Amino acid sequence: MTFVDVSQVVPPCSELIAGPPFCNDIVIDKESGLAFLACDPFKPSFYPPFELYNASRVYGDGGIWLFDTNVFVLTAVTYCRILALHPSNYPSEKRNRHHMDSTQSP
Amino acid sequence: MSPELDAPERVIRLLAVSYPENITEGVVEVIDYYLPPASFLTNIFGIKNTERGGELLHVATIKSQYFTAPDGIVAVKDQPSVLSEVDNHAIPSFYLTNTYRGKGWSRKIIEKGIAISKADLVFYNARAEGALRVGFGLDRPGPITTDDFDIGSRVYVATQDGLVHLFEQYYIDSVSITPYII
Repeated sequence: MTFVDVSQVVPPCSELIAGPPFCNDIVIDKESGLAFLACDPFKPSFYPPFELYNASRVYGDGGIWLFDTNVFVLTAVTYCRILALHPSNYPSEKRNRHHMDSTQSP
Repeated sequence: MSPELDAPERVIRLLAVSYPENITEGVVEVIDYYLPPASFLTNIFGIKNTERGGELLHVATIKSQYFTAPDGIVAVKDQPSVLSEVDNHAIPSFYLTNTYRGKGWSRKIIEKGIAISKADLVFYNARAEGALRVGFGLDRPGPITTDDFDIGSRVYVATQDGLVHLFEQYYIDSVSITPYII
């Protein structure tokens, strides 16, 4: 039987991605290499599926974040870039972001 | 014309579960990400923002009485919406997990109080613009995926009791009533 040292197969950016906390889901478009993350920094105080709701601490908005897997800057450490995206035509109310999935145009 | 300008614009269509109004009104938002050809050319500064690139566009918000406490979602190509003249991108059908099935006292007493598992798996048919419960008696299901994106015939659902449930989709031909004779 062969054992694999899992410490050697950790993705190179796994400890270095600086993005928003409390991301529920990630969707990767394989053709472009773009990854979309559904994140909500306010989830500890506002999590509707489990009826967690602390009105006094809900002060923000969950969002969709973009992570470009093509971008790696080879410096002393590997660096991954994350951009925050907000639809331009959204209504103004707050929203809590959860899981998501995707399709693409033909 | 450069090859990057010849390439067609791509649209990545996202389905996101969110709670925009209050704690009991979960919806599914359809959001497009426009990815023009130039955006494929990333550099060390990240994605280039072109005229329509690098932006999200809200397309639709889907509500249903069956979305009682939506959490997980997975899109499938089976039964997509009918294409319109102004938008040739279909809204995909999807499976969705509800953490709880009931609302109000039903949820508080039955599902949370005496912990009877009643949560469900819902299939939203985008062509029919309607939802249907297809899985029952689950313990607060959340993450969901399928091993066949094209038709979504196998769906896996993880629940809070530590189980992973496998659902297989079957089709019933409701049009043909003629028995098939070999």
